Amino acid sequence: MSSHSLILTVCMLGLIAFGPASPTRAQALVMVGNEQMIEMTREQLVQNVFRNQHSLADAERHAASALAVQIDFVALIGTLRAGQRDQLELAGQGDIHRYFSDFESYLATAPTGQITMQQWNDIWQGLQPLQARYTAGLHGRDSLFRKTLPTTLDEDQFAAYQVLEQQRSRQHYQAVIKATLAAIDGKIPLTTAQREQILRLMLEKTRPPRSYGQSYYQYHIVLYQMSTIEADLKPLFAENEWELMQKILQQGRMIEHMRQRGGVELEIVEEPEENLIQ
Amino acid sequence: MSRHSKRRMGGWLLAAVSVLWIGSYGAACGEDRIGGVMRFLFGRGAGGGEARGVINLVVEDAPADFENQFTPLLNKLLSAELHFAHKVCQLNAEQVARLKEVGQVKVAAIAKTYGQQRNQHQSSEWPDARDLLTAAFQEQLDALLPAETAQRYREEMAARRLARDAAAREMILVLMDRRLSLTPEQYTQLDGAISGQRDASWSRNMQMFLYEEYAPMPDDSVVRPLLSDRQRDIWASRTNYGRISFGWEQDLGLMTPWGDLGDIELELPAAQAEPANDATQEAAQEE
Repeated sequence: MSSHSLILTVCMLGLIAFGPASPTRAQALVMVGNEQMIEMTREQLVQNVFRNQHSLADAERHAASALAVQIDFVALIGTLRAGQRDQLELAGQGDIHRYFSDFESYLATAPTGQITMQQWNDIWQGLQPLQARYTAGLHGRDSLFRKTLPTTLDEDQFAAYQVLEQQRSRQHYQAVIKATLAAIDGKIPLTTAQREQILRLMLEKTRPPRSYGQSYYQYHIVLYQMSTIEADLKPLFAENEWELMQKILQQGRMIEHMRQRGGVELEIVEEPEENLIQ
Repeated sequence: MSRHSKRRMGGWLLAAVSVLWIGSYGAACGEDRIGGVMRFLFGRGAGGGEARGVINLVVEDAPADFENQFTPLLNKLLSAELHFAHKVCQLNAEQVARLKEVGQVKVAAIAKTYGQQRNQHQSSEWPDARDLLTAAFQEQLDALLPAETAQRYREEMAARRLARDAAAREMILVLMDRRLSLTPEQYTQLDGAISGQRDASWSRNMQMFLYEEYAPMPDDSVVRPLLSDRQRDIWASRTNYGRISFGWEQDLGLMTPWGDLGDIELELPAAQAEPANDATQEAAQEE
């Protein structure tokens, strides 16, 4: 081996052992006096809300794509005209513009640079609802897009769209019921007959919620719905099973209690299926 | 050694060092250099890498009285599954006692295995306690009961597994649909595609599907061909932090999302004059 190769090799080995560590995404923490400070930039605030979208431009582009697939779903009715599509697009863009205006307004008030942990907690209190709003989608029940649908579509078109949405809503509800039953099965192993009859009763006698609210309450919602048809369900269980099932159903009843106390946005409305979409 | 050979050796050594150096700078965020090199060479990080599927492990035998921190919850599982076997097969007291005896031995073995696995693998990779226990039950039931009755238990257990798999698959579709607004045709196609990619650990803990960012999802190779360009854009930019652990009790499906709310008290019929489902009794009568 030549001396040059040997020297180069030793240098590279040294770099491997003692070179700079890989960069991390952790926010830099510094001590200023006795206080722990965080180095916060506008870009980090954006990433905290939009996660995989690293810039506002990315997030807006993603929101536009989400709107486009929503309109594509409406177009499944088969008769959507170009002018109607444009109107829905306009309404949806209004939702997007409203959201990002709210976000920019909040961002303008959020301190950046070196901030205290308390300041960061305060910022997060303001950012979290914005993050939840973005994650839930910008074209839900109270959106311009949804409100524009009945006036943009003809009566027949809107009826066809409602059928699509109801099928989808029922499909989702059925899935959440099955997942809840799978969870119950871990404690009260269910026979095929029990599973099938519970599912049938739930789909016959209860309605899918208009909104599941926070995603982690979905199974609680199903339990709440089950508690409303308790008398129908009881014959399907043995006495020793029903004792435990009562305790499980009580978890669902807590949703009603939480609704009454406030602080939880949950809509469980028993309505005829034709009123499911507003 | 000739000068030419020395130069060649030096060249190879330099190339090897270069590979290691490039690999170490490809280290993931927060990983040390050795981890980065390992990941570059073998696709495995310092932390053990991303878990894929369930590792098949042989449950080691243990003394029947072996106990550790996993035993209490495994005993609750034993109670629930004894109840189920009784419900399906209408067992008599003697048969329940036999099943319980076998179950206790199996619980000890599983508890021992979990104790050994605890510091080596993620709990989602541990052997499925319910499968192991009910397989042991099936063996006993095949010996104790008429074939038709034992087969009923086999079918009910298979149906439970299928129901859990279907529930997991349908929740995955719901999460995808909420993001992508799937057409009915896409829904059906994805259902079939996901069925072909079943992962046993998907259906153990239904709680995972309540947290979209941590829910298991099928491979991109399965999903992307069935989406439109706009849907692919949304799919690519979704947030998914990978699998989350809710603790071994939840990961293994041994506790409901609502905590431990109690157990089923096994109720046996009053002492019977003749066992109702005794295969040996039936054989004696035939003689």
